[in-house]
Amino acid sequence: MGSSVLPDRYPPILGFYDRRALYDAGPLIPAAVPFAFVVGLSCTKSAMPTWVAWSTSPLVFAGASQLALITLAGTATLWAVITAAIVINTRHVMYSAALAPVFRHQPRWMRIFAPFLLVDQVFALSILRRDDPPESFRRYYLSLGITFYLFWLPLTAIGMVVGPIVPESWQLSVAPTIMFCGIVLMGIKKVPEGVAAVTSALVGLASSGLSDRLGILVGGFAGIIAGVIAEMIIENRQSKNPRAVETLAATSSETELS
Amino acid sequence: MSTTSALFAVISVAVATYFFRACVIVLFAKRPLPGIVERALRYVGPAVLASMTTSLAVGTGEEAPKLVASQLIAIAVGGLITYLKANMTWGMAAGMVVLWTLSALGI
Repeated sequence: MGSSVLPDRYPPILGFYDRRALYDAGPLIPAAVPFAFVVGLSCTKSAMPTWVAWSTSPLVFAGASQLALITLAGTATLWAVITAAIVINTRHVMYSAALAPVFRHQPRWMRIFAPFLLVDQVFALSILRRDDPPESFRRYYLSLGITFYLFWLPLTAIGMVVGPIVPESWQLSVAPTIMFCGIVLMGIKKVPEGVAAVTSALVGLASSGLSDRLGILVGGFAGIIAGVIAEMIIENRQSKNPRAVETLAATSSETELS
Repeated sequence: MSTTSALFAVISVAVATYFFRACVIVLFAKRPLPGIVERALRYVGPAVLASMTTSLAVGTGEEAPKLVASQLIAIAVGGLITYLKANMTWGMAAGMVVLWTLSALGI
């Protein structure tokens, strides 16, 4: 299922850029502005030289991790700072694992280059297009990743100059959560996927007290296990009851939640 | 912090971050994986996204869970609209309008 309402018939911009990516990224970019400004402002207050602190934007390209690295610099040992920034990004291993089957059909250069752009938003939007033809997925993924990258760099640079000009009362930090919630719901097509999502959310809530966003990993693992168990239970029931298999086969679309 | 130390820290984190993002895609995308792993990978997307949504909604660390009624209602409404209309812009707009309205009402 595609995430945007734009049909595929629209031609790419400049022969490459997938305008559906811009359409999908559009709502998330304003939501990233306050955070980008915070990162930019932190660069000016960091114990690091300002230009080195800003270089985390083009080199690391991971907001929360950048912020940890920039703000902790000078307040802890070098290895403690590095470790803290790295731990925050461990969830990216799961993104890599989830997209690995999709990249099976991509050329080698794409498998090497594309992970650099694999931020939360790119993962969330591109996983919805995992069933697209390889060329279409490639164009969408790269367009999406490059869009976020090209916005992130100047936004963090502007943040160094203007600081927090977006009023907190706008609560724009909630916007990505709203979008991720919608993406989760749009991505659930079968019962085990729903079981995985609900379990993950509940365990994630229970483990939210863990530092460095480790609750995401704990919830994610719990959800994956629950999804696999749910699928095995459903398969087991189907194999034990042939009539149920026929019924389920006839109504398979009804078991889909979307 | 010296420029050399700062650059070392930035490059170390950049390399580690790329490794996390690329490890499974580069190393295993072309190789057949055990059936149970293939099966598990199908649930990584919904599981991690749901967990991340929860983390963003309630916060992390010592202050979590930080539950704000207006934000939770806005997230639920926005998510539901996104799902029903299959359109993220609508969902985002609806969620933010609900959030600002509830906040204005002091909820």
